[in-house]
Amino acid sequence: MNSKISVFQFYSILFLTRLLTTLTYIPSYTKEINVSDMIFQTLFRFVFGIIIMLPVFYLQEKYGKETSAQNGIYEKTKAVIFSFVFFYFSVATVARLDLFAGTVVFPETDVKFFLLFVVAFCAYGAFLGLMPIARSAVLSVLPVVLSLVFIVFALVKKIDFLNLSPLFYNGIEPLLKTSLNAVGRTVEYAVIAVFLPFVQGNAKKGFFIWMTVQTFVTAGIFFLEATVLGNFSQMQLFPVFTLASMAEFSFFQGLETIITGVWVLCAFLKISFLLYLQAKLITDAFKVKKTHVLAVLGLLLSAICLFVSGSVERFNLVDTSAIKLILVLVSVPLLSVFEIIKRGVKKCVKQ
Amino acid sequence: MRKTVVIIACVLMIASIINRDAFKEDISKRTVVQGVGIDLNDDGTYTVTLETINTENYSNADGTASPVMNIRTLSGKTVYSAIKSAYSIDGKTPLMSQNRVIIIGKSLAEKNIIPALDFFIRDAENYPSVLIAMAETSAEDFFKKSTNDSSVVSRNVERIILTAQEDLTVSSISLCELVNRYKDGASSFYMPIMSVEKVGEKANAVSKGTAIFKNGKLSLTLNEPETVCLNFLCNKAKKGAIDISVNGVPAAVSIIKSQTMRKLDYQSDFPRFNIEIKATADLAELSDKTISSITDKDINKIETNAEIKLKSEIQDFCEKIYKVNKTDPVGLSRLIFIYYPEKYRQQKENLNEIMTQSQYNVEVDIKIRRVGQDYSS
Amino acid sequence: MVIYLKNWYEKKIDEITVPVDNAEEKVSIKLTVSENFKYIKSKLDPSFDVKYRTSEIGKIKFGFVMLDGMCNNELLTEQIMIPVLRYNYDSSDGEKVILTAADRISGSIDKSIQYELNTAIREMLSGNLLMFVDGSARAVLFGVQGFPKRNISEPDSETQERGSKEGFSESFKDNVALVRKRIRSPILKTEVLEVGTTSKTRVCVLYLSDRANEKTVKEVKQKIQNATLDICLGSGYIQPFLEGKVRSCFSGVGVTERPDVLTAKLSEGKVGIITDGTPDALFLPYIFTEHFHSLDDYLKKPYYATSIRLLKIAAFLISVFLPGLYVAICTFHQEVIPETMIFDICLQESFVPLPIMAEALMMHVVFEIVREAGLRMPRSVGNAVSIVGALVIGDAAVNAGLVAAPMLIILGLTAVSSFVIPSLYDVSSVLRFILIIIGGLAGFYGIMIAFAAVLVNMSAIEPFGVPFTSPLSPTKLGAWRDLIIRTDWKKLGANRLNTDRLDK
Repeated sequence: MNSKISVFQFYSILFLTRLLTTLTYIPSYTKEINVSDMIFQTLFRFVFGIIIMLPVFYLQEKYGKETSAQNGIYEKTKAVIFSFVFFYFSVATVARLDLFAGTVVFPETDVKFFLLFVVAFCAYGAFLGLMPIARSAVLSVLPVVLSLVFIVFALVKKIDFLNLSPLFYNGIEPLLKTSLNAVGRTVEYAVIAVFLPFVQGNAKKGFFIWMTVQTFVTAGIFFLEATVLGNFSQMQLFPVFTLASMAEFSFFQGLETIITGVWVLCAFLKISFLLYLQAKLITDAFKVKKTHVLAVLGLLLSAICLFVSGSVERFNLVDTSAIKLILVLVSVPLLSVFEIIKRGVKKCVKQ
Repeated sequence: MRKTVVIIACVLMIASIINRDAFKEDISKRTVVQGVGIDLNDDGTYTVTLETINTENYSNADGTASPVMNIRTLSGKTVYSAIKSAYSIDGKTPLMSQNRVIIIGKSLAEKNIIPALDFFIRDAENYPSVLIAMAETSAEDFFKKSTNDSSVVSRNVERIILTAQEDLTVSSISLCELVNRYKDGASSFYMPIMSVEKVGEKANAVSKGTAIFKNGKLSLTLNEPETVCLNFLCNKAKKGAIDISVNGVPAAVSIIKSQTMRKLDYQSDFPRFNIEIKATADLAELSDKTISSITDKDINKIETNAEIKLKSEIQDFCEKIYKVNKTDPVGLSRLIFIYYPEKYRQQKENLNEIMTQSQYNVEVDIKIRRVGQDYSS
Repeated sequence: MVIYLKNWYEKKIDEITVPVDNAEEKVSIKLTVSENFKYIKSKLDPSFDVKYRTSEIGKIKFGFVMLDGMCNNELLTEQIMIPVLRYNYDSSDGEKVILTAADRISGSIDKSIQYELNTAIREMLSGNLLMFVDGSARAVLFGVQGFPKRNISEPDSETQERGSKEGFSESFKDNVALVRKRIRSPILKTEVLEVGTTSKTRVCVLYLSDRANEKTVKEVKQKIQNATLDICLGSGYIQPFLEGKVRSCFSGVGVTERPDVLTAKLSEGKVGIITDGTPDALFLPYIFTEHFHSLDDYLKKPYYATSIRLLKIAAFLISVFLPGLYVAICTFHQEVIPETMIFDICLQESFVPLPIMAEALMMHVVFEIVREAGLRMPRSVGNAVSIVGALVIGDAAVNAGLVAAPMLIILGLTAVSSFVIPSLYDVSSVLRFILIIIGGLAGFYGIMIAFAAVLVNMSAIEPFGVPFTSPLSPTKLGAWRDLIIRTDWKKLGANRLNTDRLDK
């Protein structure tokens, strides 16, 4: 990975990709938790996020400037693990988009054609490289934020505080469980772990700002969801979409279309970025042609998504919280701790 | 290779365009639904009345516009199957996203309306903000009797319900709000009652009080003065008129702004609800023969009379719905859940009983802002 | 806080701009013609259009410098060269000779004596003939300007309300002279290259030596020289060779018909290219936001310029997205249509036999045909074609039930909007058709995917190292003073933008 991007560009991508996860969350993961607890769950998630990222930043701080052999067995294994993590999340993202499209946008139409369409465009985005994705993310941040602010303004008058519920009504356990699930759904930690050395600027400060911003944004979205929709949100497949459908501004109605737009834009950037990372990791580790890797990845992604499309059971297979959590925990803190120990031992042997 | 891929992509795209099944039918092939009425038949099937835009008979020979609405009556074992059967009439699929209002027939209201609403909660094309009302008789009757050549019944109903913020005698509820109320411990909710009123040749939809539901079933109907109390208790009364009497002279005050604070405290095992209403009003009319100037003393009297009237009416209303009818359409029981979750956990099972034995203290404070031009201090 | 923000913003401006330096070195005129020529060459070369001539009459050596294309040759020969060179000078002393020439010869011509060489050069660049005499520390300037003036026609596609009405013509020298006329400074460099193995077309590369990136200039020259062309009949032949590797409907090379625009671009450190026989010039690197700027913006009040720019952005978005969105909304997202409009749209569309996507495609194809016919036909016939077209795609189509009235409004709005930014017409036209198809197949969802793909594609363009999406992304806040909001000249004039710095 030779190309470097600025902290702002990097965290702009991550802001949008994480926003996508919030916008597309399905309450079935959070059934046991009260709607109001969802707001506070973001704080717990913030803490968990910081904890699991500590080894990554320690590793970067201590051995950041040392480069290890790209073709060593460890490096190759690491590349494979991360590629798998990113691939799994790419599949989950496309599958969720498929579920959304199949349920909301085209309930009476076969969406397979559109899935292929999406994957093809995302592969093209990945093919163009890191810089175009990063620049597009920066360009998208402002319209995305403005769209969200517009919807928030359109929803303010519908806030009803009676829809809130008392904190920790069902105890702290569901809260912790949901927070861990949320950590598991944050592939961005793995992205930071693998991409940190290639970011120009103060990545630590950027990480903290990014965490704070996304915590506030997520908490804000959950607050609106709790106060505007109340328990109704737990009955919806995509509550944020339903929330946006409640928004009305002057004679404008159906503002959920804006959320759809934001969602699709974020999904495009996320899938493109993840595909780019996979291609880059594999290319660097195994010295193969990037175009070929991307073609294979694109085909594989399309094939799996076509298989998953149209079946809720299969969707649950590729979008399981537990698997995601394991993948994030293995690839982020565990691999980093292992590398710290490995490098520490190597240093001791040298001395 | 690249050319081949481009050619294949183009062929696929053209094939998709030509093949009509590849994409959804556009607006010209959809029946735009503006209102839905649901009635329950004796055999357990549903009769669904759809008010749709009539696109078949657009212009007359003289160039004037024809009636633009169709009233269609359909039936089915479920609400969905009944609505879907509209396709067999003109080959057009009903479009639900423009639906303004759901009218529940009395027959359905007396059984249980919740199963009939499932389609509207589950289907993505329906909006959670759609308004719900009950017909005084059957929904089919309501649509058929109130329709005329130039108006859209559903829009009229929507307009009436949305005036709830301007008119204290009309209540309003959306699907989302109804579901939330139902899912609360007391499982009670309310909705406006719509009726048809004939003025000469023309029939119009009008609001006729409010229906209270308990566990999805119609439990009580409220008249218009009671609806005013309901609106105040729900903090939905923002503007509107209150008729009072000052020294035997009829007067009207126009509420400009109102805020209801609902507080709760516990005395032993039973909650005490303190309801404070603060309103600002204008003196709209004082039907006094002498048309004399109004003094500070008069203003105080008007304020006091309005406060006393509203307070006693609301107090009576609370007695009626909580103690006699044992329902909680206002959602006061939710305050227990929010402020005393542990008590709520203990009393959840017999919440309606608890509400029966609760205290309801109502305080009303009305300030007259303007009295017109004939003021003298 | 306010002061901190102000300082921060000024710092951002400093990062992206270079202060304008008015100071100029003062150099006395040398005593020999060769020394003066040497100095001028050091300042002006390479500049093919600067002509040097020396003549010796007896012991007196005269030196003339002039700018080809900027002087009236007839006047120069008959009124200056012949009298000066045929005059019988009393003395061979340089000082006396030059004073005599200035005083007694060519009385009807404007003359002035200069002692400072840089000022003399500047005057010469304005079209004056500069004369030196060996042994004199003075120079005489003869006013024989004859550069192309108003007979040059007004550009068709870049009309401005205010500002010059001059446009580039087919004359290569005149075009260069039109730029030279606007930059009377030695820093303007003009280098001639040849393109086309058979045509040997002259191509002039123009740049300002103190601000253009040397690497860019070198690369441009190299790319032009390496252009494998047999003949070159216009700047469009060279343009693809200057664009990057990324395939896109957007271009990193700008085109202008206006010498003043080219001058402005050169002043930002860009490189201009004038091709012989073409009434337009290329300039690069060209970034996306420049499409929304026009010379009028800079000649009018800032608030007006800002509102016009916003209008242009809106027009571009309408011209690209509106038909696609309409098709998407009518096909997939009917919930977006306000209740007051749904009646009319529903009724009107129900009479049209075609699906909305096909209807939109048909109408836009018809419009493009009418536009193309109007463009290619002689002007008088073109008008007739437009009228017939308006009737066909207007009232008649609606009455025949072929098209719904809302679609016609969409078409009209789109068509008018697409003409607001002529430089983006090609792009908006192609994208519009693509988005109509995608909107009809995949709704807003598909439109957003296509938009994202176009965004990434656009972000991948890097004309000569400058990102096409700069200064939006990478974000260069300092350059935002002339992005949508156009700052006052009092502030804008003090610092000039350096394109080179947009790439970091």
